[in-house]
This record gives sequence, structure tokens and C-alpha cells, in this order.
Amino acid sequence: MLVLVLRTVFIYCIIVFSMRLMGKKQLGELQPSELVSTILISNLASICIESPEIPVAGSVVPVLLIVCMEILVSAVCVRSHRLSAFLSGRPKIIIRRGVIDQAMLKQLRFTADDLMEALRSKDVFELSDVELAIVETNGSISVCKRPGADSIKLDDLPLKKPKDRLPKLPVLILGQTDHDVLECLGLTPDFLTEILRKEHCSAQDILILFCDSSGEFHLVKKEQQ
Amino acid sequence: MNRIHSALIILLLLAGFAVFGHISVERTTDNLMLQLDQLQQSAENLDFTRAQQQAKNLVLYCDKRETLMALFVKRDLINSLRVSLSGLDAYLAADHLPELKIELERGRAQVTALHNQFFAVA
Repeated sequence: MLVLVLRTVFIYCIIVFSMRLMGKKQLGELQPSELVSTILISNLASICIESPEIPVAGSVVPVLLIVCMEILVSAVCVRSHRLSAFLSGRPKIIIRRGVIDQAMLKQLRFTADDLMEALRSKDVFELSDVELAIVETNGSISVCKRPGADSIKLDDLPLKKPKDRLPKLPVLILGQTDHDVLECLGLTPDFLTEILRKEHCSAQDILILFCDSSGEFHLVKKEQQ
Repeated sequence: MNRIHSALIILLLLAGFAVFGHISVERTTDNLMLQLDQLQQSAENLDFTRAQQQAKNLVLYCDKRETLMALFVKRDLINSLRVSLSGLDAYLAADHLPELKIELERGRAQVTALHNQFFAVA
């Protein structure tokens, strides 16, 4: 029983490490090669937990090997468009100016229902509203609406626009300063020290602190127990 | 770029682990085979005192290498080999020489299975 617990904890750590190593791509919508590696990893991970007689290396070695191959293949794909197209395919245009490309629909083995469902998920209920629709390599659909059907943007109106500025972002969470966000906003740690001094509190008393590039801030203190 | 470096380092570590496994399994199975041969030779020469000592050493060697081998080969194969080798000393008498030979053959087959489980491609 103890072996089972130790193996499970070990495999859990290895898989979390592997997923972190493969990066955020692996957690979003997957390309074909990423899907294959994710399925293989999930199966391989369970083998040595289910069968205690199999060495842990029997799961760990193939998992790490797949992770390394996935990383190296994606690194090569960044440099080689041809390999990338071979492994992931190319985006396909499926609707132009409200007209479905039926040959492409057949080629992608999409039914009209599938297409309409994908369009509805993009808030498009009429085909004539679509200027261009593209099926991406991960199977999702991107839609560009025709100008008349698109929602009004602030830029379309003859109004005085607010100055460009970054929104308020969390720079300090549970006493930990996020220096990347601070740098992105063009602020310095001294600015935070100044805020803390003004608010008569220490970093440890703060639940979350938002700041924007103009120096405006919103502070939420921890509730006292 | 860091991830690519990490991937390359992990690949190198895996290659090192594979080479280490290769050497360990090869060396262990070779030693086991050699010790089984020596045991058979001593028994055929009717030197059973020596054969007793060799059988004891064989089991001790198997125990010593068990943990390492379990990293690379299924544990039940190692356990069944260990059980077979432990029973060898019961046949170390002139009357049981034919049975000893059969048991030694069985031991060799198990060592070969151990070897093949690591090295066989198909």
C-alpha cells in the first residue's frame, strides 16, 4: 500500500513537472502532436500505479522522452514552417462573404450542423453576417464578421477617447510583489513602499494591490482574524 | 529557449540512465549465468561443499542486485528467480544430480528471460 502511495505521489510530481515543462500550449486547445503526447502521457502515467510489479522507470522514462520530443519538435516547428504545416496542418478558409466553401467542408469532414454550431459559439447566427471564417489547426473556428454585422467600437464613434493606459493589474498578492507586472506598468518597488507607508500597513497585511501605469491604485487588506 | 535546454538535458540524463541500465542488467545476468555454470561444474565434480557455498553466494548476489534490477525489470521476474535460486541447495547431493541439472536449467531460463525483458526489442 505504501508503495502505491509513494508511486502515485512520485508520478503526480513527474506529470506536473512535465506539463509545466511543456508550457501553457499543453493546457489550452491542442495541436494534433500535442494531443497525441497528452493522451500518451496520461496512459503511461497510470501503468506503474496500476501494476506495482512494473518498475517506475517504465512510466517515467517514456513520459520524459515524450515531453522532450514534444519540446524539440515544437522548437523545430518554430523554425520550419514546412514541418509545422506537416504536423499541425494549415488553417482553412471555410466561409467567404457569407458563402460556404462546400468542397472544403467535405474535405474537413464537417457537417453543416457542426459549422453552424461553431458559428453560434462565436455569436454569429446568420451566415450572411460572416465575411470570413477560418478553421484553425487546433479545430477551433475564427470568424470575421462583415462590417455591417460587427458590433460598434469606441473608435467608430466621433467621441473624445480616453488616454491609452494599461488597466489596473495586481502588483502585490499576499505580500509577494510581482516585479514583472511592476516593470510592465513602469513602476518601481519604491512606489509600492510609498503606498504601504501612506496606508500604514506592511506587505504582509495586503491581500491584493492593483496599480495602473498612472500610479492609481486599489488596495484590499487581509481581513483580521 | 530554457525549455529546449531542459529537454536536451533530460534527454542526456535518459540516455545515461539507459546506458547505466544496459550495463547493470548485462553485468548482473552475465554474473548469474557464470555462477550457475560454476555451481553445475562443482556439483558434477561431486564437490558439494563448494557447491553449497556457491549456491549461498548466488542467493546473496541475487539479493544484493535485486533493488537495482527492480529499476529496470519487472519485479515478479526477479522474485521468481530469487525463489528458484533459493531452492537449489536442496538438490546438492549425489542422489539429486539430475534434478539439480533441471533446476539449474530453469534458473538459466529465468536469467535469460530477465535479460530479454530489458534488451529484446520485439
